[in-house]
Formats: sequence, structure tokens, C-alpha cells
Amino acid sequence: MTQNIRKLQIMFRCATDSVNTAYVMNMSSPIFHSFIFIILLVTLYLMLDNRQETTLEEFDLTTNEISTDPIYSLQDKINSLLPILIVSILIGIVFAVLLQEWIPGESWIYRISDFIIAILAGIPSVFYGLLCVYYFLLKSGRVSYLTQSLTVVLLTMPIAFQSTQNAVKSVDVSIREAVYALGVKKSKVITAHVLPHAYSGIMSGVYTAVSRSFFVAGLILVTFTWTIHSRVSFSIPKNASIFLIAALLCSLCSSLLKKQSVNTDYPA
Amino acid sequence: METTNYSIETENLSLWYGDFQALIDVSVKIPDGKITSLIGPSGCGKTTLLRCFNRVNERYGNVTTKGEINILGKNIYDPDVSLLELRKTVGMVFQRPNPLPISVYDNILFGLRIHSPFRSLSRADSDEIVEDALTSVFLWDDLKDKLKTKATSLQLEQQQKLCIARLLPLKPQIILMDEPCSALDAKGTLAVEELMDVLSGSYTFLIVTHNMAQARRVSTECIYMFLGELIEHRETQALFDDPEHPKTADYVQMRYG
Repeated sequence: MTQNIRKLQIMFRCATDSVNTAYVMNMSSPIFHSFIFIILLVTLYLMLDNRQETTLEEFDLTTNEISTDPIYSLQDKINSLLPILIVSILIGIVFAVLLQEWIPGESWIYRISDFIIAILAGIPSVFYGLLCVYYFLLKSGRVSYLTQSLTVVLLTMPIAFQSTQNAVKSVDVSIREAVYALGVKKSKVITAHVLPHAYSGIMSGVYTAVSRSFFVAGLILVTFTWTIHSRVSFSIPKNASIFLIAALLCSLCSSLLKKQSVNTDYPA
Repeated sequence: METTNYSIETENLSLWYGDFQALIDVSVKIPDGKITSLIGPSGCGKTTLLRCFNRVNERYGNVTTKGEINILGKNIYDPDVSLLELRKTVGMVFQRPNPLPISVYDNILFGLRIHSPFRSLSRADSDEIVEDALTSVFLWDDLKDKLKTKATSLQLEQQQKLCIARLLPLKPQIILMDEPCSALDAKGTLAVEELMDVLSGSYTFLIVTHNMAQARRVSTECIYMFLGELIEHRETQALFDDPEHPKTADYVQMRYG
């Protein structure tokens, strides 16, 4: 028994020695991000593909047509919002870079957008859902694709915006000045210097935003399934659990990246 | 009598930050290939004047300038002047060593890579450029095995020299230095001063300093400024030994500032 444990220990040490853990765990290394992206891609694939796999056998219920339909259609709707998620995060990043770099800090445009975004980012996600339900579902009876998209944008854009803004702000001013003094155009300064150094901060925001929306989607799927079957069960529906796991993974990445983005590159 | 060429000439240069006038009618001629130092108490416009010469000032917004600055015979406020070319010609070294947080090798090539078309630099060329630049700032022997290390991990003295080396591949004519030694110890200061002395034949140096001993050691000409005005501009030795203006005398004999 003890021998086996020893063997395992040696094997483990060999494995950890052979892989340069410092490099793999370095959050700004391409290896790390490709690893995360592969996991995300697999998750997305499962999400898009799980329509056939999801059955209600997991719940000991009498399956009837009426109860299966809404879940599928809800899953469909959530899947159709994925492109909107990507677009809204991109909008957040681009908007933040434009505002931070081209609009002076004392102008009213800057202050107003800063204020609005801060408020939007602070609102818990439940309220966006309630807003959507009260103002659209209850009034007009249906929620259009545009409204759904707007909700996703409100949910994720402010977070991507804020973290990009902070990351861009934290790029050292004196080094930026040095780059300007080398005769580099403003757009080049941003693409060649500011964005690479704000990278981990921006990616942290992207992961937070994705995590937030996935978490909400997973939660909705769980509660919706339970509501449809009017029973709380201990097993979480498969499609919801995929969302929840993805959300967990993303928030993990985001917090690790945030730790990294507090820059140790620059001299104090 | 030999004729001196002037690399920088300003005429009645005035500058305002909003309502505050930072430079008042400054007319100055900086000789070519020499080291000129700018001294004066804090807030007297030395750094502002220095920053005018590669128009870095304009980045702060609400800056108004009047007057002329001729650099190498060309008014830099002419509309046809390319800001990028100007900043290539007039390099700048800052108070705190500020190498980019990338490798030593990439630091030196950063400017050149951005200014030349994509992938036009061959590997051999860039190796040669890096070696040349590092050799001319006496860093090659220390750093030839460390080209891949992060520039921010070097000693401060080496970082400051690297900041000078970073300008050289762009072939500047004038190098502006804003208190380049204030973050360095005595040994580092000496090293940078020696470096300036060696390079001064091929580049025009303009150095802002709070350290009068340094101005005396390195510069051939010296400019004293006070509250945005240029008070005196003479050869360093003369300015320190026999100041014409009473304000200069107060400052250089350390009765003030």
C-alpha cells in the first residue's frame, strides 16, 4: 500500500517536472488561453448539440408534449443569443478604448458615459430579467428578439467596458509617453503598446461578462425546468449544468487573470 | 572666427497652458553637436521648453503656442511638418528610466519596427542594429547575453542607457533629456554623463537639470530660466563664474533655489 503511494508520488513528480508548470499557468501565455478556448469551444458545442440529448427522463415525471416543448424553445432562444453575447462584449471593449483614449476625462460625454456604465454594471442581473418580463412580456405578451438582445447587452457590455477601461487606464503613463516620443502614431501606440499590456485585464473582463450571462442562463434553465414540472428535483438538468460549469470556469479564469493584470511589469 | 550651426532656433516663443503663461518670449539658439543645459528653479518652464521641441506638449490639450521654432532650418509649426518625422529626428529621454516592459532586443527595435513596413527588417539586419545601438551606449558587453531578458529587470543605470539606445536606430539629430540622472546614483550619473560626452559630437544634446554641478560638468553652453523667461544664455564656464544678470548670480551662487 505504502509502496503504491510512493510510486504515485514519484509519477506525479515526474509529470509535474516534465511540464513547465510555470509557463502553462502563466495567464498571459498563449498556451493557457488556447487551453481555455478549447474548453469553451467544447462547451459551446455541447450547448448547441444537446437538443437531441436532453430528455426529461432525468426527472421522474410523466412526460407529455406540453411540458417538453417550452424547455426546448427556451434552450433554442438562449442559443440564438450567443452571437449577441460576443457582439456586446466586443462593443464594450471598443467603446471603452475609444472613450478612454480619445475623449478627454473632463468632458461631459466621458463623465456621463462613465456614470451610466457604472450604474449598469452595479445592477444585479435579476433586475434586468424582471425589467424584461414586466415591460415586455406582461405588456405585449411576447418578448421580441431585439428585447432579448438588449437585455444581454445590458447584462454583459458594462462589465466588459469597465474592465477594459481600468486595464487601459493602468498602462503606465511614462512608458506611454516614451512611445509617443519615439514618433509613434496614436493608433499605433494603442495597438502596439497599450492593448498588449492591457490584455490580461481585458480578457478578465471578457471572462467575467461571459460568466455572468452563462450563470444567468443556467439558472433560468434550472428554475424554468422545475417550474414546468412543478417540482424541485435534486438533479440539475443537463443543459443547465453545462451553462453553470462554463460560468464557473469563466469566473475562475477571470479572477486569475485579474490577479495577473495588477501589473508587476512596471517599476514601482 | 568659425561659424556655428544652430540645430534649434526659437523666436519669441510663448506658450500658455489654458490661462497660465508658461513661456514668455523665449528666443534661443542651440548650437549643433554640443551639450546645452537648461537650469532654473522648479516651475520655470525648462521642461515645457524642452517638450516644445518635439511637440510632446500638444498631447495635453489646451496648449497655445505663439512664435517660431526652427529645427534644422525648418519651422516645426508649419502645417506640412510630419509630427512622426519630427519626433524621429528629435528623440527624448525622460526623468525616470522608462524602458518598455518587453525584452531588451525588442525595446531597441520598437521604434524602427513601427516606422518601417511590416516584415521589412531581416533578422541579420536587426541583430546588427541592436548590436550597434548597444555598443554606442557601452551596454553591449554587459547585455549581449541578456538580450531576451525583460528590460524592466535591468539596473536603473542600464535602463536609462537603454532608453538612449532605443532612440539611436531612428537616427535622431537632437536628443532632449529631461533630468536624465535624477533617478540614478552617483555611479550611474557618471556613466550617463560620460556617454553623453562621447555621443555629443554626432548628436545635439539638450539637458534639463536641477543639479548645477552636473550642468557645469557636462555642458558647453548653459541657459538660465526664471518664471518662464530666458534670463541668460552663455557658455557654461562664463555663466557660472561671472553671471551677468543678478537673478542668475543668485541662483548659481546658491543664494536662491
